[in-house]
Amino acid sequence: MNCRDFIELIDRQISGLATRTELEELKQHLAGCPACKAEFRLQTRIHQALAEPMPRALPGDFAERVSRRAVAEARRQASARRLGYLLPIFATASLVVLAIVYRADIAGALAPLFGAIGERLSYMIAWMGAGASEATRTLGSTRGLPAGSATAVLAQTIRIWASALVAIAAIGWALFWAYAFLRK
Amino acid sequence: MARCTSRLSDEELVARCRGGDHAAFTAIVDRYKDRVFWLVKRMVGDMDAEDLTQEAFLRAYRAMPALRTGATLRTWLFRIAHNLCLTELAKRGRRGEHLSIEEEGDERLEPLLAQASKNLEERLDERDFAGRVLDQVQQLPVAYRTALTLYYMDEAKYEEIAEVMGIPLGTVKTYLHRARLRLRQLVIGSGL
Repeated sequence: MNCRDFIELIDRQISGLATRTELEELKQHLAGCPACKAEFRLQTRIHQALAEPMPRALPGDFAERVSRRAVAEARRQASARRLGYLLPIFATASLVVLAIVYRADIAGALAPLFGAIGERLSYMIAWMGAGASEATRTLGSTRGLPAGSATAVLAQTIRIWASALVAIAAIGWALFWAYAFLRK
Repeated sequence: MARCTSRLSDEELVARCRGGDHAAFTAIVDRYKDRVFWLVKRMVGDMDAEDLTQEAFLRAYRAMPALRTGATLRTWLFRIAHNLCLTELAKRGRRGEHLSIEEEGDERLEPLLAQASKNLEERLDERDFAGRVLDQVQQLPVAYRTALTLYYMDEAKYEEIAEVMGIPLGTVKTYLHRARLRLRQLVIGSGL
């Protein structure tokens, strides 16, 4: 064995992996080799440095803080999960109720809207197929909508859906405050 | 209450924690905070070490129901912290740099001490020698640093290190051996 092998052996000795024969061999070599003896001292000091106790570096209230945060997070997540189930159910129910309450208005508003769209589509198809004058003659003049009807339909639709959105927003707001209250 | 929970075993604390006992979780954090912090600090450095330690415990709290019966709490906590640090290092874009350890292997193990500055031998007995060695540990690849830290912290068993790092037992021994020799080179090279 040469000095290079003994450097490896010193590490094995420090790790407690060297055999009794290897230890004896190392001991004999160290007695006659100042370089390896210095090497042995260096590696032992490094080993001791690594084994020194850990310094305490965290604040004294660290455990309390982490624990409080963990519990608060768990509560928040549980509330969010509850709300996560409730919110879609509540929103769907609200929409159904609104649709029932406004069913007459909705039907009345949508019928002319779809009618108007249908009329315009028919006109466009006829226009593309037969030319503008023929389309106007066959469709526009005989089945055209009264002036301003599309605007009226749009206004009515917007009014209904805006009231529905306001109702949903109000419900959402109420839920938010209920959630905030539960969290406390 | 704190005095009472601090005497409980890890298994008892985990059981109580699962039952919603917050004091038990505080006791777990208190028991392992320094060790987890030390591991995190060695893996990612001083920056964000406290925040990452906190995050490791928060993850542990969330995952506590998944901790299988009979598993060692300490190993499990270390594994959570280890994985968190690897993610953090990957985010910082440093992981590749520090994990490229497979390519090396032919350490030059000449008795360099004889050729190194005479000061080094004299400094071995200095009081701050340990601190300077620990500074050099940060120059090692992250896998070496982790293995060394776990090994010297409460003298963890090779099996535990393998479980924390998710590597075979033989690789742990190789990492430790190479880490110490590389550290030796760094210490000699720095002249301290």
